[in-house]
Amino acid sequence: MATPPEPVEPERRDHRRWAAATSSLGSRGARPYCFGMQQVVHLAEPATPAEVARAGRAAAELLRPFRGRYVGRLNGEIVAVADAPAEVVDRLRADHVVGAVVFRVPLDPSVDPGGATG
Amino acid sequence: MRFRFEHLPGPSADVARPALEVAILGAAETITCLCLVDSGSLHNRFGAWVADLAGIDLHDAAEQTIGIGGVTIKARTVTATLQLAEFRWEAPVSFCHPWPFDFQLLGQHGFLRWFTVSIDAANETFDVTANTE
Repeated sequence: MATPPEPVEPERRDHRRWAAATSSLGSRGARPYCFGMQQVVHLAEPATPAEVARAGRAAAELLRPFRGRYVGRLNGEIVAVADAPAEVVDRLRADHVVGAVVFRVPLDPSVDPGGATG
Repeated sequence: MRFRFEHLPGPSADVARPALEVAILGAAETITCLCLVDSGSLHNRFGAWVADLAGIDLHDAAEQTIGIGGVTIKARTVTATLQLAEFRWEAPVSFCHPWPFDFQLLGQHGFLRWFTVSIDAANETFDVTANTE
């Protein structure tokens, strides 16, 4: 018959090592502290950098006139617009445009198509 | 490869999404699509219009009924050739009709097994590394 394992006391953390290991988190406002025997790091809410937000707004403005329509986009420029993807592909072909991405600009991009099952 | 989120204009607020430009290679045409990286999707799901335009034959594929985003959809699944930047792979893609969505979906089995993706939503970037070994 197997002998049950000896109970093991939870490891007590070396707080100096813990502070060193988490020191890089300080600039983002993370604060290590103890919750019972478990170490917890509280994360501050991150901010999107201003230049990222600015570039994003510019990209969205490029698409705004075409909400609900299909577009062909190449190198950041809209090169074809139509109400059906086949029309966009036809126009790209007629204009000898290669490599453009074809998609419908959402009317409401907050609608979540994810979580496909089946 | 590092990509920026796709910024899409909305009626009240813009939305940034981790979307990729992925080409699907068919007998008639190569169609580059805007695809959402969707860890919640098991499989690649594309609109049937992509297969139509690319010239991908779906006639021999059995029709399934699947649910996506609360919508019941008919899907036919075939192995298709996909390309992201210089990386090309063959994976099952379910071509779906109707397809009321604006994105195509890249899922676990058809995309995330080939690539490792790290998403940094705060900085609106994501890193995609091909699993070459």
